[in-house]
Amino acid sequence: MDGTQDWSSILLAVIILSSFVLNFTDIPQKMQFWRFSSVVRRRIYELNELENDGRRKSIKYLKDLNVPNPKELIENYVDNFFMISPVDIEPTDIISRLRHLLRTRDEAVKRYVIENLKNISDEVRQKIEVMLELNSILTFINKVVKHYYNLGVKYNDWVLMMRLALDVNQIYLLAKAYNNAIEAFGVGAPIGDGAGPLVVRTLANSSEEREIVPETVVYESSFENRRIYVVKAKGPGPTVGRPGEALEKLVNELDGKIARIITVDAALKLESERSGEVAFGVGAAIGDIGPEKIAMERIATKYSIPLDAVVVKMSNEEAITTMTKEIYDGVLKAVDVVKNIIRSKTKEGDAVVVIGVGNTLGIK
Amino acid sequence: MEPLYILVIALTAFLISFLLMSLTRRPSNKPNEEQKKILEVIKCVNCGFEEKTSFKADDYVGKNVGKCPKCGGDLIVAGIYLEKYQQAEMKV
Repeated sequence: MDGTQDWSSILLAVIILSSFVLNFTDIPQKMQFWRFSSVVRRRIYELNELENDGRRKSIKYLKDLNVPNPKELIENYVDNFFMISPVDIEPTDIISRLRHLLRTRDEAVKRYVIENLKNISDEVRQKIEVMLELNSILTFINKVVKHYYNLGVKYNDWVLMMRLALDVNQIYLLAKAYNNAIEAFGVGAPIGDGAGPLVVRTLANSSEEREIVPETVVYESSFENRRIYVVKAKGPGPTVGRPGEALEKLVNELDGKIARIITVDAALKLESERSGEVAFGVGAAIGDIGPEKIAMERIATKYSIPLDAVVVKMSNEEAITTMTKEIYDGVLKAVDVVKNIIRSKTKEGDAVVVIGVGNTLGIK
Repeated sequence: MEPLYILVIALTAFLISFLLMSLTRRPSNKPNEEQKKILEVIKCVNCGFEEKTSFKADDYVGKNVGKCPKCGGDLIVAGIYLEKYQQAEMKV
């Protein structure tokens, strides 16, 4: 036998053996499991770091406000203050039950902050509430990833680990966005989600505000011989107010004599869309889980008032961090779109309600 | 050298380099080097005079920040946004 035949035989044997190992053993899955779990483990370290960094930033902010025990304030909030969704198998009055639970939770959080920090302004209280919420979200994301990682390791579930390894990069970016948001809320400049309030604030000009329902204000202004009622959350603290309840009250006050209701909000963009793109349509533009949106739809339907929607598109991260130039340019475009709707779809002497939905941080 | 040896060596070299590349390449979440600055748009409610300045802590949209140098009307903060200055990106 010459050298060539030796090598050929060895190669053939290796190929057959490899084929056997790849097809009839779990070794490839074990190797994949090892690779995927190392990817997830690395991300878990980074998620831990994001969580700790969020805590550090929040503690620093609270210390600057002379809070005596900032770490305790955060630790006692995280994991607590959850809300159990109402029963949905029997949908009767689900909206009022959901609204009741949301208000109860909001009140509990508010009381918790006030009890720990006496004599603080509403604006600072709202900032602290948001900061606690962001820390809570970071902890929750971290815990969920660790939960599935531990489940995968415990049951040697390589499919679960592969799924987690594929998703963990997106989860990490989401957590990073929440971490960046802590800094943005501390700075106090408007965030992307404030696009709606900023659009309507431009239309309010220099008119005086009136608090129509808690944390929500209305401005009476005029535009080309039309009366404009501008509704937004009460700024400049980080709150979204109660736009649905405010609209309901305002329309009832005016006996439904409204020609048009225009809602303006930030909307999540698709990956192929540009940040700051403006689109308009029909309906209530509000990312609410139910009570506020249904209040808008019900009151518009009750008096047969056309309901328009204008949205400024942005990514999830842009929505919760300081407003970028692209979003600001989108806001200016949205102002023109709202003005065009008023010009083309109402006549002189009409009354129009324009609602800016979103977080009003840095916008009074 | 036999063509078979060359093929085996080439295949092995390719597999090893592919493995090394996939192990050493890490997904990077580092944003490109960029400078950020928060700007304020200040506008006169009377004549529409407009200027841009750096954001000051405690400022907010709608805040009265003084008198217009042109007409003496009220100057208010009309907008606040983050300007990013992208630096030349070097891809590895």
